[in-house]
Amino acid sequence: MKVAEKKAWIGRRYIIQSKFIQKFRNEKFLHILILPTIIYFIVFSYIPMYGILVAFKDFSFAKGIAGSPWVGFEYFEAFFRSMYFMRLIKNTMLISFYSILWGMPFPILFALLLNEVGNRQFKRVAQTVSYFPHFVSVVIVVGMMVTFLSPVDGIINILALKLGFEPINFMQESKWFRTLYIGTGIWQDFGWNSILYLAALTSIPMEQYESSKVDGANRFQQAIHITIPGIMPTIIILFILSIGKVMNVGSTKVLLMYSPAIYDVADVISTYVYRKSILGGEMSFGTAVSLFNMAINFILVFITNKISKKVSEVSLW
Amino acid sequence: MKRKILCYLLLLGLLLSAVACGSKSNTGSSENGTENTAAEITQPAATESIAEDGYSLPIVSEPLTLIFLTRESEDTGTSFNDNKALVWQEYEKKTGIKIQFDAVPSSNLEETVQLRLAARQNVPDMIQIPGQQDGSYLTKYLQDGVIIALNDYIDKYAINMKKVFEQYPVYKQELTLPDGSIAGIGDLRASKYQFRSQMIRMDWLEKLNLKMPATPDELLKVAKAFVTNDMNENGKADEIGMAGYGDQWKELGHAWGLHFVTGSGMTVKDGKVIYESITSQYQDFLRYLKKCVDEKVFPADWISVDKKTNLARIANSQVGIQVRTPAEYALTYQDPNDSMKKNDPEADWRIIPAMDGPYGKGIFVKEAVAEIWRTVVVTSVNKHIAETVKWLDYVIFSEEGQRYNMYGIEDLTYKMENGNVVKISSELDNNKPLKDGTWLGYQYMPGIYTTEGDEISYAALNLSDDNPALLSLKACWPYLEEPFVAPIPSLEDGKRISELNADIITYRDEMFYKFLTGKADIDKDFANYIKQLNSIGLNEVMDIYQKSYDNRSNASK
Repeated sequence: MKVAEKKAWIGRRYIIQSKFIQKFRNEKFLHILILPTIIYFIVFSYIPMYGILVAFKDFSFAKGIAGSPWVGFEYFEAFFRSMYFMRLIKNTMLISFYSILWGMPFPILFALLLNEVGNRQFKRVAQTVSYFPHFVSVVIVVGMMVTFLSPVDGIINILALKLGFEPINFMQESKWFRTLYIGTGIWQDFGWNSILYLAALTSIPMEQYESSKVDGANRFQQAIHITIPGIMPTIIILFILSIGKVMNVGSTKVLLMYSPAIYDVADVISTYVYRKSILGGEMSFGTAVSLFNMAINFILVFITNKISKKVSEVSLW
Repeated sequence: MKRKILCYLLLLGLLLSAVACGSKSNTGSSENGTENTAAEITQPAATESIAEDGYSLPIVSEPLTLIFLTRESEDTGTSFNDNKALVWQEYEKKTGIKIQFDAVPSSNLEETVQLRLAARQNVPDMIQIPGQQDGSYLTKYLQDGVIIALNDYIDKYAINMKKVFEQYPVYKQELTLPDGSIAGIGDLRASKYQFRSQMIRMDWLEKLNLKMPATPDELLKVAKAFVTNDMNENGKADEIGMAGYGDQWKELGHAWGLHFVTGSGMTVKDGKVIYESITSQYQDFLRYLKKCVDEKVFPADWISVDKKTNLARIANSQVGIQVRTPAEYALTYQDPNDSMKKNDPEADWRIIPAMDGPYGKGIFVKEAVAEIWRTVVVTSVNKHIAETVKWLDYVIFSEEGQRYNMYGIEDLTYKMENGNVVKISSELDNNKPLKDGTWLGYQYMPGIYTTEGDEISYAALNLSDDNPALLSLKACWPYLEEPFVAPIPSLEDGKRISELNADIITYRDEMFYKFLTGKADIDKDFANYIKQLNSIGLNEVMDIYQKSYDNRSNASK
């Protein structure tokens, strides 16, 4: 925004009239409205960035951040040196990518289907019911999983036995872990995530549908040629945002679900760091790893954004 | 114009209140309004001119409050934060020092302690830390200056503690950090009743006309018999041969002479520190465990089953053998008021005697003399260290204090007869609360557990001298071994160990499961497994421990 400054004498006062300041004056209540949020972000998000220094220091409680000695990349190296480093990265990324790959279609599909439903009452009820799992705590979801899948007395295995199959030890086999993790994640969040898509659907102009009907399109063709391109910007933005969370596979759910028997697929960066720092408040190590995660996330988002700008015209910035 | 000013003022007010509500107050001893500035933490409290030796009750002439961050009560219906614990009220009456509790559930305690110390906010006067088994965190906190060394204060004031140190020099040794300081006070376990054992249901054995197993293979056969018969007569095939959770299955290794002391996984033989998970005994033991898994005597979810489910199955009469129980359970299970007995009066649990393993007679491992899993430390914000040490000496080590901690309140839950303690059964036993919430609150501080002390506690059960469960416990005594308590390493060594240990333990545990589920071959892949462990750094870790062990042995000579 270019600042056009115009200095002028008005009466006896020397007033700086600039477009910028005038605009500000006109909109000042809007600015005041957003001020608390800005302060919030400055105080809670930007100022604490000072703590990133902990990653490069040998942090000790008594000396505080300023007094602790610099160690440079020592903790990063300690992390990279671990024999499990590659496996951790692989597990973390695979879980995230599969989550995105499988997790994105469901809310979109659900939104499209719900859109086709004629009965508005049913639509509202279905939508609300679909949100419920989102509010269930992850601890409870895992608890349910463990109970239903128990090889001793879980419903699924009892059914399997009755049908003549061998009971499967779901929670202890590596090949089931990702399926269970992502599957329950989809069940929990597809309803909530579909909200944005449903909102985007309403912004597609009706004339497009009407003119396509005139051209003889049936509902299915309408969905493919109008609806999906219409919400494509939303899909792309959400996709870029979720790439930005790739390295953040949360430890809670994994911690609850894993055991040493399935470390080879289930051990992710956050659970490894958690186990390691149980052996002694390793603030510096944990911060170093977090910083590494953030850096990777940012690079990925940056790349995805660039690609998206080239391929479509939609991008975050 | 007026409206505008009003708006601005309102906004300012909102912002200010948001900021004010967000800030936390720092607390130390509430009486003297301690401030928690950085200066306070880095300087240890100046040693007061230590005037007198010892102390007398009450410890203080004016009321004093100390803030104690500790584990919240695990007994249902009770809470330390309510201040209804009778034993603690007695402490206050006798010593004049009031304890203000900051009780946190034990699962959050470690995190809370670390966060408070890192942020230097809300640091209390005393903390009961749920320690890790190697004590290196104590060294770290000491070096950081957040806790203090108590040696001088102990020498001057803690008369009872010193007596106990003289009686049990190993206790003092295990509490001492590499630089000679004593910063944390933990349990003293010197009782022959406190060791780990396996237990079996005698009534099930009798039902099937089987003898008490004398070798691990016989144990396996018996477990298999339990699984294939409907022992609890409920028409369902829900019996479990051997029950446990986590990595308790390793306890069966006692028959191979393996100790598997929690945490360190090491033992010492002829002055050499050995890592048990790479020995040939371990390899042989793995073969046995694999047999158990293949024969399905472990429950199908043995890898992931948790403590609560395991307990429920035992209470539900589904279990024939428990792979790890504290030996004293043999006695408490006989107590008609104990929930086990109430649930299933027919269950007759006995300790399995030392079995004949492939390397000789099996062993039983005593609990370590100094248990540092719960340690009380004094922080550097404490302005009344002398009084605190006196209080700790009274509560943990004095004869009266021990009685409070072990037995409760005189004439309420025990009485003195001819100088001996005799337990009185009361509704308050086992920390059960009365309707108005009052409860005893005992046995939460580190305690002194001696053989004589335990015998007094169990005397109330009135077990005859030839009670079979009691005999099965005493039969283990010839085979009791002291556990090896890993020496506490110096700070740099501690860092290196914790860096390497994360990977070592991950790999070791993973391979344990791979060996038992057949994904790795116990015969062919074992040598490779050892090589891998060494390349991760096991050699280095063992060298450090050997060095620390030699230092500790020389220091105590």
